[in-house]
Amino acid sequence: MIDDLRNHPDGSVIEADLCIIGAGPAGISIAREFAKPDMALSGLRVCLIESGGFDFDSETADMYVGETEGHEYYPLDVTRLRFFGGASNHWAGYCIPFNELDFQRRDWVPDSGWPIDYTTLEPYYQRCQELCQIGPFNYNLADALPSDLKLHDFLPEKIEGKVWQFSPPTRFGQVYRRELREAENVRVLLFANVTEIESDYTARRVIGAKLASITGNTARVRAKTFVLACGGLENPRLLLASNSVQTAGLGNGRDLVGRYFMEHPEAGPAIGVVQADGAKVPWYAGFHNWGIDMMPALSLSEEVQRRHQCLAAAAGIEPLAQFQRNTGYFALRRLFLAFRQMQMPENFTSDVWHVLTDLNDAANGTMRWLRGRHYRPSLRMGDTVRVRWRLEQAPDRDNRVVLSDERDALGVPRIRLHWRLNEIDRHTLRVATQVMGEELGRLGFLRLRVEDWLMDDNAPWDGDVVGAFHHMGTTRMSDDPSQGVVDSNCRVHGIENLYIAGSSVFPTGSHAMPTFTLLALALRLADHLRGELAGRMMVRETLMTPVVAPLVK
Amino acid sequence: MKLSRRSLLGTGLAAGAAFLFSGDTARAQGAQRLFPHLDSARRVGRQYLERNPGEASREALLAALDLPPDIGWDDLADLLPSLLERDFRAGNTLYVDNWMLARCEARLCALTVVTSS
Repeated sequence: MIDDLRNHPDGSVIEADLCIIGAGPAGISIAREFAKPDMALSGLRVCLIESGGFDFDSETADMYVGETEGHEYYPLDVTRLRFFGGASNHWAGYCIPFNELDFQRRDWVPDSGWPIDYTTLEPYYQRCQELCQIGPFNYNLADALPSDLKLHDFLPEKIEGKVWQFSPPTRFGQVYRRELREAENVRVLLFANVTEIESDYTARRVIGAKLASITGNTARVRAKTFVLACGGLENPRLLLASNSVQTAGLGNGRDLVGRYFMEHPEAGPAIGVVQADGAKVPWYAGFHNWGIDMMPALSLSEEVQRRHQCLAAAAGIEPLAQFQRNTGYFALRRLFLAFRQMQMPENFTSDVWHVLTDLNDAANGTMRWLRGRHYRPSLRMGDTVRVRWRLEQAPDRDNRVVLSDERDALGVPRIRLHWRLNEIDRHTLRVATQVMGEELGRLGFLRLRVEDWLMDDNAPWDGDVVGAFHHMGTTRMSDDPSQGVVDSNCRVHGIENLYIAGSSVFPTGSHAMPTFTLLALALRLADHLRGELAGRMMVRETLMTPVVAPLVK
Repeated sequence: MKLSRRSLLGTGLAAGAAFLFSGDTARAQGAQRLFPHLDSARRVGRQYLERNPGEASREALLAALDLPPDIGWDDLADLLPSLLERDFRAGNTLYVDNWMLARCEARLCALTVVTSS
């Protein structure tokens, strides 16, 4: 059912067995697992709490405003969406599992190593294929290519040919809304902001969550178990702000909540010039097979990472002509649009020149447009591309989220994010560019020119090195309470009934976009909670059954 | 902001890159069969020799390339693809003007310098 806090009398109490705070991809995926018929029949009551409604509204979004310092970062309210469906509402749909090495402890990466391995998550990754509406569980580039398409044979000991599968993208708040609306045991509570997670006086058990709407209604949720699923910035914010009992913040006895923030730095430090196979360049920007869109992910091999003691990274190859818009097709399109509006084209002479000298591209682009397909510019010798990397970022204790002195409309402290990049991140970018340059040169495909700032040891990071709206690591996972906020079941150390879902539990972040892995973890957490809560229900039913009943029969 | 930067780089570099890696070599003669834009190749060669003065002779360069001293330009042009493949595979590269080159390529550029003087 769908509920709205604004319709509740002030001070009301909502009872549930499981309270999930945050209706983003993780929260919705966990709630769906409890909406299944077996769970619905069990009598388990689930409350899924969402700050916003079904659409964006600026007043709610304002609660995400925060400060940043260090390497230039986006406004924090821009990187997140605070309404039903959460970040899936602006998700680009990139899906790929982490590699086995991503989970392992790497001697050259301080604070690396997950308490679970790839094989633990693989069955959940497989379930995520359907959840994200994508193809078969196969991320091998060679397998994914259409049979008539052959790309380059990179040396596997240097560059692994993987593939991104693109979700439509699944807007979790739209695709799974009806399912949750119809689930009798699931209450989706909209316009409900959690202002504090309340614990008992020992801070070892959560007893409730204080709720408030922007319109002034307040309420409280009482549940046996709580899951915090608000994203990599909001999860630590709520824990730190819930400091009535544990003054450093709930679950923050070891000063780890908010630390080890990680992003996926994106950088395009090299221009490539086409030597041969220009017609293949567009396929590196994407292709269609298995009924979905896909894109090659040219990843640094495990061997390169070990030998050069660097992090994970994956490259994409982007035709610059597409951005310069000086291709035959773009020029023809500009001419066509101008003439259709009975206007003289702005750059008539140069556009005619582009069409005449790039007739092949003009014809191909037009044919693709007529068939409703994406434009793929044909590249020729001497045309330029950009090699763009998405990097893993090393965990850094000083990259962190703290509470600021500012408060939002409901009185909850806002956050300040400190983000910096380190020498190992730059080393990774250098190794990645070097190895890719070697391979592209060996194949006779592209020649690379590296930008000054990456060549110069003393140069600052280029301003074009940006994050990807990926917030990870701030409630990291470790079975050692001195090293992590949650254990391998995502339960907060020292608190018996508080769990965390989302990329904030990642100890390291791979190069892979986080959504697919956080969903796999969410499904795993749901399985864990289903077992735990169902077990409790059985105990409760057993205790409530009159002992004389068997004698009466 | 990014687009204009990209455009600038793209335009400038496309022209710059053409110096070594493109051109019609079918009818070219001598060193020009290796490097259609000979002036650019010599510029690269001079930079290489500045950093590697010990190789500033035809004999030293060919020895470093593990090639016979009497080899001609046509044979070098035929051998170039395999030399490039070997160097790039082995990671035997260097940077000139931030361009990543195979070391053999820079040495052959240097060869055009020492043989023209």
